Amino acid sequence: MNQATEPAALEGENGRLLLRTDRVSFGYSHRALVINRISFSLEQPGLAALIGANGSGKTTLVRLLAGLLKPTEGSVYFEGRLLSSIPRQEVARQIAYVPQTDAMIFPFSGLEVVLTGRTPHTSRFQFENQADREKALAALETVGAQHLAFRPVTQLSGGERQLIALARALAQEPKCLVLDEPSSSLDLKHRAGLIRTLRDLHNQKGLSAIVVTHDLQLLDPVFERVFALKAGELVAEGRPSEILQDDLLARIYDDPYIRSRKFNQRTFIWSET
Amino acid sequence: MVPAQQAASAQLKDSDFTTRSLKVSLPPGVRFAKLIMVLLLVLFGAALISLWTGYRLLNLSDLYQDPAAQTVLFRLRLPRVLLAGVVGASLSIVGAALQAMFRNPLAEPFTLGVSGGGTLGASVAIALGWGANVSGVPLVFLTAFAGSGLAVLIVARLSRTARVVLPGMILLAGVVVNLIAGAGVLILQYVTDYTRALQILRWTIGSLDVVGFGLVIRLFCFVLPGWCALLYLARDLHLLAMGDDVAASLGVNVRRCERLIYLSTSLVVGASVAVGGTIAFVGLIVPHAVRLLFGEDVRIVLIGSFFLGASFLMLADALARSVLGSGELPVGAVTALCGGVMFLWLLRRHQRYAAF
Repeated sequence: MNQATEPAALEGENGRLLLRTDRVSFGYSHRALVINRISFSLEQPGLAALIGANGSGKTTLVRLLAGLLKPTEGSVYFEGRLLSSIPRQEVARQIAYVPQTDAMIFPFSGLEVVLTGRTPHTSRFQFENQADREKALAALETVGAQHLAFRPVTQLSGGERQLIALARALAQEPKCLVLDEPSSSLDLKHRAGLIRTLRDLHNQKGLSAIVVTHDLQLLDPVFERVFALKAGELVAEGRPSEILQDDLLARIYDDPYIRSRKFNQRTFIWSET
Repeated sequence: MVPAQQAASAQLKDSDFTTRSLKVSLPPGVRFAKLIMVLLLVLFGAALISLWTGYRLLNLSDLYQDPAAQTVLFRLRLPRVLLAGVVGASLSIVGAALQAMFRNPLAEPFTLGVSGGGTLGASVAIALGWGANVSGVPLVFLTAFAGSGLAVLIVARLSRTARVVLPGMILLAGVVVNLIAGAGVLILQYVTDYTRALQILRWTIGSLDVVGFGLVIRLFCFVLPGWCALLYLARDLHLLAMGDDVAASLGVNVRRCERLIYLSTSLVVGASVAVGGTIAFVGLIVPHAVRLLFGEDVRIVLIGSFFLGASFLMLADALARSVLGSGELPVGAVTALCGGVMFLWLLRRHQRYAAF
């Protein structure tokens, strides 16, 4: 089911592979590995979801993929190049990362936050110009948050901040978005809106994304691949319809009460109470 | 959302925050140009006021004829005003940088114990007699630099868990470092001889008493690299203020950046403390004033704090020199009084964000 992909075959396809990890392990301390020999790959363009129980290592894995952590063992490749060998600014132009939470202390305006997404495209001693500003405003509009442009972010709700963070990632104009639970505080409308936005950007502009999520219902049919983590290991990967099965989900989440039903081209998942 | 509906709500929100949106709706470049012009004017005015303030009244006709007036202006007032400018700019830019890096609006050299560490370091040098001779002044700089560096490292290490800086923790750590350093200074005063103890006491209160330019120039040479490093890191600090992960994902080498900030802040604060003593809360008042005037952008806050800090301390020193008539107040007492009140006000204001 997993780790069936031979490294040799992947090397030949490197042109099409956006992100690839080769038996990556990571531990915050020497004692325990949080991520244990994970090999996975994301095609270009691709939409992938990363699922798993709390504490299964999802955040650590995406931080490795975004280049924020260096693997203890193994390697991460971006377009066939070793991620750690690519200069930081260039990585920032290609990969945009949205963390789970960003505690904002200073009352920056929404637009100021989104404008920082233009940093990888400007030089050190330059302020963002009019073109950057328009791109930032366009990014805000894409996520439906232009009304937040001049609001202090400290006064926004968790969901509104997630929209701002997403807009910043889009303003970065990356090839690949790495989103860590981008929908956890979003309401029903914005949750669906996020998925629609990802789908449209994927179809129209060839944007790739890897999304950590607990919203299993949103996976089918938009996402192409789903990767399931359990205790730091990749336990399943496949199309959403292959992964969203009662028995498999029960194993991933260690919960025998999980049920999934297909209805109207959608998969509904719940846990019996 | 329907576009029309969105536009309507955008208008509604905009009008709610008119004062703010005026500040942020200008492009940063334009705001920056405006800020430089305004602040240079303020700096010029502050320098003039500060030069003309003091026990001896000066007027232009005297200056042409009276050598005593010339001495007062060029040997006493001008170096003192320059010193106030250099120290004020240093403490303020460091305050702005520490606030951004630790994401804590109450951070500044004094509250984080960086000044305290520098004071202890400099006191050691004075107690050992290294500070008494003029050629030994750089040695005081070096011990103060070491003390500040140690303090900033301790505070940073204590307040940092795996990935986040705890805002309450860092202030607590700063208070404790200050107390320990203060105890160290007291012990030094107690065990050292009478004149040196008095020397330490006078100077810990904070005063900008100088004669001639030698000390000012030496201080300037010492803090200049620190200023340059902090201004070079302005953009990184702007991103760090939004979070370590955010900054890292936008291309900032967070660890290297932090190390550079530790180094340059302790260099700048150490030297400033070695010359002027502990001048509290300048690094708190000035960056917040800049924020109120010019918005939150850290790049602007840094440069604005630099100029406004120089002006602020020049004026505070002018006040300290003139308020008692013939005598003078320590400038550290003046800034501590203004800054303490401001600290309490900020504490009250930031409670709403549940950050502390």
